[in-house]
Amino acid sequence: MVARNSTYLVGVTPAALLLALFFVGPALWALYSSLTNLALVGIDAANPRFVGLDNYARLFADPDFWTVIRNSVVFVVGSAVIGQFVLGLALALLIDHAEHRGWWLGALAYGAVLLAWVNPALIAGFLWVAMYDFFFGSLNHVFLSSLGFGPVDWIGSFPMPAVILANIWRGTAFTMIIFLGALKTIPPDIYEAARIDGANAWRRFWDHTLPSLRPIAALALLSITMSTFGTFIVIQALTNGGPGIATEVIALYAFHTAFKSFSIGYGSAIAVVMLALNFAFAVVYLNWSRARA
Amino acid sequence: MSRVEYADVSKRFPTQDRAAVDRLTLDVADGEFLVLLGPSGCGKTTALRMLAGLEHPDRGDILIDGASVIRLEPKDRDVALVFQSYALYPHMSVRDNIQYPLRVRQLSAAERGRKVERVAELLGIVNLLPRRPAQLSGGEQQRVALARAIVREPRVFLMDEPLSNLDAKLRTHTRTELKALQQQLGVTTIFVTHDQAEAMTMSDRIAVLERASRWRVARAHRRLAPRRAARGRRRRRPQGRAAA
Amino acid sequence: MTTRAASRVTRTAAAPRGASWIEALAVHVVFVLVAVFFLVPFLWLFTAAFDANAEAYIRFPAQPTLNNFVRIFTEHDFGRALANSVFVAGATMLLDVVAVALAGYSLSRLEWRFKSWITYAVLLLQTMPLSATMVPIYGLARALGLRNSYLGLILIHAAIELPFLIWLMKGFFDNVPRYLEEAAWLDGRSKLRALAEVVLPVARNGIGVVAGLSFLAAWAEVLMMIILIDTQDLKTVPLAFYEALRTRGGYTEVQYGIVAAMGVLYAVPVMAIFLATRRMMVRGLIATSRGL
Repeated sequence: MVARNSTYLVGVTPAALLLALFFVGPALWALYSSLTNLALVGIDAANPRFVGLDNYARLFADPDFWTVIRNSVVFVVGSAVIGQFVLGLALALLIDHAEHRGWWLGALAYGAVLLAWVNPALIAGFLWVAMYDFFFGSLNHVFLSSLGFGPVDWIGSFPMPAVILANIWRGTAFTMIIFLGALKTIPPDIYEAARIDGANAWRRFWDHTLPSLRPIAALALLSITMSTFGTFIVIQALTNGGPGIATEVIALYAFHTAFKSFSIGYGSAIAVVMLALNFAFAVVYLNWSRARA
Repeated sequence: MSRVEYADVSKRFPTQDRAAVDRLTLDVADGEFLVLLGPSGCGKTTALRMLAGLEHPDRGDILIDGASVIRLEPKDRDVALVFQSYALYPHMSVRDNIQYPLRVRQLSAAERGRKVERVAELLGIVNLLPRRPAQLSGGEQQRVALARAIVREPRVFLMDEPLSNLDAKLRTHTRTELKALQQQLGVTTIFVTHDQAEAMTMSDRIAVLERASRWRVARAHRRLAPRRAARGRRRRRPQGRAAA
Repeated sequence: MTTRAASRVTRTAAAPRGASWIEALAVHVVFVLVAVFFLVPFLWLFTAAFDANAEAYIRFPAQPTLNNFVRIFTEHDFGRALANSVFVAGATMLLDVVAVALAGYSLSRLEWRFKSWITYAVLLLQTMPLSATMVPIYGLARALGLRNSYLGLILIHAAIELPFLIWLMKGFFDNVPRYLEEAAWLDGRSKLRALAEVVLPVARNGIGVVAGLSFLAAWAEVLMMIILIDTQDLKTVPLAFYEALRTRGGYTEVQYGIVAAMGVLYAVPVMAIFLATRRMMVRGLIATSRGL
């Protein structure tokens, strides 16, 4: 028994080393350097000083930080909760429904949504840069002008809705796939029993379909909340946090602080805040999913 | 052609509070066909797996030909096990399944071919050699599993309820056949079953498991008596269920 | 399998009764709108890539040309970027397959008091956003001399997807019955060779998914490339794309045809591999979300 387990523990080692080096290590290093005034260049780069919780005090007193937090919440609620979750659920229900009716157009919609998801984030950002372009973007030049409207400065006037839309475009597939998988596990006899009991289609949906999706819905919601919270590339390519800091979410803020202002210590404090928030979500998520298993 | 000894062997799984095997002492003579009989979940499979090296005893010793094997890895014990589920390698043809242990021992291709042919003929499965396990019936799979155990000429055969997945008619037929085969090969065999009729017809001796701690060993045709064994089983049933 | 197929049939057969043509029309209109919304950006990408004078809006090129593709290789050194990307993603894939096979198998077979803790930790790491640790990873890579090196790129990209892949692969191994490897041990094989010769072939679908996802992730990933690479020699496809996107400061001066051509070569392998193995990938994804 003992001998056998030690073999298996050896098997975990290569992966454990990589994870320690690039996950655990950086997290601990962030914790440490957030307590120093480490900088990328200059005298503080060579001789960082221990500054206690100064970085955090500075961070929490910084009005920009609170704007960034608000941006992040708006972005997550808009793109993950309202956008990806609701749209993904609706699409899953429609596609599942269409599949039962034998309507093949559902497969086209499924493929289109999937295609947007599998392409690299940078491509998504770039495509929407072009879509939103003031003078020549497809939205203004093709769509609005054909309807007889003048051009709209999408990114300038509605920066946050613009990045949210781009992220919905890219991220909806995940929830859709998860819900489609869950729908397929609902035993059909439930529906047959309900039909015999005289329940109409709407009642069957409301009483049986939705409740059986609830546990997976909670997990999907938490999962996309976490991944949306960490969104970086799409926003960076589209607006880079601008105009001003209108779309500066927390990941961009950490990046800009560290690599534009060169203050690693301060940037690490932001990273630690991010990790802490994410950790809280993750613990809830894991405990819920354990309760299910 | 080997003698097997269990000397005061005990084993308890961390997740269970009752010992799976408690102070088992048992001698199996060279060339003998010994049946371990008992209800499911009573530790007879564990006893077998300890001999194979798939489980480690907590205490006691297991010897083959007088030498302790408990420190040896399964691969170094030179025993063959026919699993209840046969454990055929699904990605290999029947031929590759049977010659796998020979390839491990780095026999030449010609020699492997000769041995595989001989065993396949013995078991009447020559026509199955090019097929995949998934294309075989239960009875055919069982034969392939047997062939894979026989071909390497091990010191001991271990069989873990190898007939339990066959239908009733085939099972009765295979019993006699298997027994004849064992007599022909003369390899020490330990056979686990919960079927008394099976035990009675096949064994030289039967070891009956009453409790984890109490084993009775008898000549098959002495009156170890189906009746008494059955009584013992009835008494034990609630516990056995709980363990399973 | 048969029961599932049968139940499907009954459900399909029972359904059309209540379908009205209004409902059918409404659903189809929604599907068309959805397909248009999700496909239009790609339509632009592909038309622009073959248009010598591409603009930011969709138009069908007057005369389709491969000129943009020629130019990215002759003027933007895209061949080197392609070679770098293929090398880094391929090496990442190999490293991941080995590490994931060993770790996933071990976690699947390990019987240990702290096993649930390990699993928990792996899942926790899986939820850690890369954008939160990029600053420390930058510092770490600089300290270890892993910046501007193939080794650094490979190690980091192998690590990024590791928790997810281990979890995925463990699920595949859980479905391989233990008696198969036990039979191989008794046939005389060591643990490692039994894994390679018996367990891995049986779990080959899982290995395929892991290899595919690992390659794609390393191919597509750009954040680590941005912070780790600043020499032209090590420029990869996403970096070349990123640079082209930012030429001369602003987006307004972007040469859309050039960038779109790079985008096509950057995105198409990902989409092609993923769509070709769609069923397996989606099944793996659903399995992980369910098995959590």
